[in-house]
Amino acid sequence: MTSSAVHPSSVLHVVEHHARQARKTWMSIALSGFLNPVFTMLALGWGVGSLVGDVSSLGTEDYLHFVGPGVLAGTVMLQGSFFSLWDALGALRWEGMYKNSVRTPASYTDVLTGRLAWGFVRFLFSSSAFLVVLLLVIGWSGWGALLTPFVAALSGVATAAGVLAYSSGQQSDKGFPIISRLIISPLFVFSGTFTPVELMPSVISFVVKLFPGYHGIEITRDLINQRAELLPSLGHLAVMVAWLLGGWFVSQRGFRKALTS
Amino acid sequence: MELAVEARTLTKRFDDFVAVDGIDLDIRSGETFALLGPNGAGKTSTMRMASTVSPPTSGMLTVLGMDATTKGREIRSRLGVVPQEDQLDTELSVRENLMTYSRYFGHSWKQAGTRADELLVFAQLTDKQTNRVETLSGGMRRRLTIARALVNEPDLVLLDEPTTGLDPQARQLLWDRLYELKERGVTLLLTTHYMDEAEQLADRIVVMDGGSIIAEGSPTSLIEDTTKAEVVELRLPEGVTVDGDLPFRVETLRNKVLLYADDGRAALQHVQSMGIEPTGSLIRRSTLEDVFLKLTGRQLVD
Amino acid sequence: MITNTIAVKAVVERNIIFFKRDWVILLAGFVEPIFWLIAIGFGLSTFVDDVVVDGVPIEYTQFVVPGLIATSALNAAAFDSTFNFFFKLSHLKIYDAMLTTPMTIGNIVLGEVAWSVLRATVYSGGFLALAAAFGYIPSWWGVLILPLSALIGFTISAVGIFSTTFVRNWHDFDYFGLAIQLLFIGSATFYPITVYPTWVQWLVNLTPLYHGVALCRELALGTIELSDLWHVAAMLITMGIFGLWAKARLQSKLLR
Repeated sequence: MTSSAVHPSSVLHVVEHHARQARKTWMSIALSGFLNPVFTMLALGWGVGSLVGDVSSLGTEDYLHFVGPGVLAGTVMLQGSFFSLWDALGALRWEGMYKNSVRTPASYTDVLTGRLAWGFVRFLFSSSAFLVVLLLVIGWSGWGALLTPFVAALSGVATAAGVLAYSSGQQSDKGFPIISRLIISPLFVFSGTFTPVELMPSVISFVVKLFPGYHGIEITRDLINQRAELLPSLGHLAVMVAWLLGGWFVSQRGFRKALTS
Repeated sequence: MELAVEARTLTKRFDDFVAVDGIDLDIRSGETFALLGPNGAGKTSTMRMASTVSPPTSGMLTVLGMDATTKGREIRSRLGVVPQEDQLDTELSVRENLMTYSRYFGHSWKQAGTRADELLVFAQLTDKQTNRVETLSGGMRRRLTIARALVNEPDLVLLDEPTTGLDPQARQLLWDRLYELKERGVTLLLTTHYMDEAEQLADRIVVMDGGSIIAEGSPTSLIEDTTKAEVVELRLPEGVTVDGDLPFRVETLRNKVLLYADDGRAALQHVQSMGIEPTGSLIRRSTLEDVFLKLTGRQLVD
Repeated sequence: MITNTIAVKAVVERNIIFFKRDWVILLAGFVEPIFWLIAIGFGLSTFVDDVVVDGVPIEYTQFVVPGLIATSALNAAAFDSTFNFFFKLSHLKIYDAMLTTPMTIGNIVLGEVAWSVLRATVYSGGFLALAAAFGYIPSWWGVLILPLSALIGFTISAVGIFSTTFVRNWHDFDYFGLAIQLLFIGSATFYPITVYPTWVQWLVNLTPLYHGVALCRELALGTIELSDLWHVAAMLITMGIFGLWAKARLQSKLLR
């Protein structure tokens, strides 16, 4: 079974398999995907927020309205990256989970698609939970806010696809600490999570705009602050979708090599 | 006579479980001594107490003439230990493993380097010295673990199941290394659940079961004293048994019947004369496996 | 017979041998707080007002830099004393092997702590030099930030090893991730603890990093007073209690 066609029922099986496993590790997911960012948002929103005088460069009501959506989408970007590093290598090579999957009618492409689909579901859950807390703190901010978990999950899965394009081709986790500290960490800090991208040196603001995380944060922030416009939003979405499709396409190679040889 | 290890009513208890139940041991300097027994017999617990990383619950234990409970550090500086699960530093290279371990005995880097080179030759790993341990085969890892145990030129080497999990060729290679140590006069204390290993290497053996010593002696004397010289292994058709008044001892196991006799051929003929036609038969020498079966009524490895 | 000094040194050497090959990882860990510095210097400091410390208004970047120096010591020490310690303890099992040599549990704990201290001091020291070059360390008292980093490394490492003796599997480290994030953001790094309600302020006083951040800031600004020795005492006490407790827990874990 090495065809690269996608079989929806097989993809669903892979998602289900992950969901069953998550029943054992949900605490882990809740700690890093929910409690950790909620704390970060509250501490910075209130702590740093109490020191902010002039909000004109933020374009939001106060710092909490800026950093809240930033942490919401920024966290999912981080989650998406780690989802495609050790976690992915474990399922693909160390634990043999996917090797067993391709012995069923599922193709390696189904496994890849299923993994990313599961990522989307997972990110949707954690960002929805975060959104509830955010809305409790800042108050109801319109129906558009309900779209933010989908946007955040999309940026998470787009990041995951991009990182997976690299990690699925790796035999060991040797390079992962470097990727995580020298690429993912700075992207999290500079993508507009805590501070407007426009204030950064132009090299930095140019680079972060190439990655999906920034675009997820932008739409999320616009939606929460009720200032989203159609055309720019479509632009942001296009970048994320491009990363998702590109990452998915390139990752097929790594999955094929790891699972069908 | 100098004793390398001396134990009196040595006991180890973990909560309610008695791992070692009041054993006595006298291991002489220069001999190779084996603790033989199935899993859970108390061999590893005994070894851990002898290497002073596990305090005895009660009883007396001296190693190299020193009290194991109070002189741990002094004892360990003259001890070589080969643990069951190598415990090698797989993040480092073969040579680096020997070097760092040497440092734990307080050797200088220069000393450690000279010693590492000698031991790499001994363990036949010189051409692998820069490889990461991760890349070594099971047999190579085992040889490296033995080399590591020798960095301090120990007077006593403890080996916990040295060849478990190795293929026959790797075992033979390892035994060669242990013979060489034996010839140099190093005292070896090893545990094993392989009969052939104990017979090949050990001068003296104790058989352990359920935390106690159930027999003691040289491999040949144990076999002579406990059982007959030869064994006939019979495979019988479904429903057929060997019983009645017979001139030899019979053990009926799950899938075969064993006859213990001084003359195996005669015993086989005796059975055939009773009208029993075995589907298969084999005459062999008695081994320690048979000793264990006689003593406990159970097989050692099943 | 091996002396305790050589024994502790031997543990440190093992780590040096390992990281010699993977020195890029060491470097990467050092770079992380610099990203924060850039984000704050160019970003946050433009819209965050001066912070008033002891009645004196201080520019925001100046406020945050000492906190970042202290947290870089935290990062260095926390990783080695938790994640890496667990790996060596439960997967490589090299401590079991070491304990069959003349090494003792005390030697091993002290050796691993010493390595963390070394790494923490190098990280913070590098950052300190950088901060001084950009003029963020106006006082000569700032030199004392170097030994302070060692003390922070020592304290965090003792608490880290102690906590790691409770870890059952890799998933448990997600609790550690949360704890480290709490320390990183909550210890007066980005804003003074006076923004908290009183009872939270008390809680923060019980955490190990807060005292390091507070002292680091006083040293950088030269506003140090004799009463600040209280922060040193707090760290020494934490370090002592958790270090000895960690040793006892490992004793019953490994030598049973």
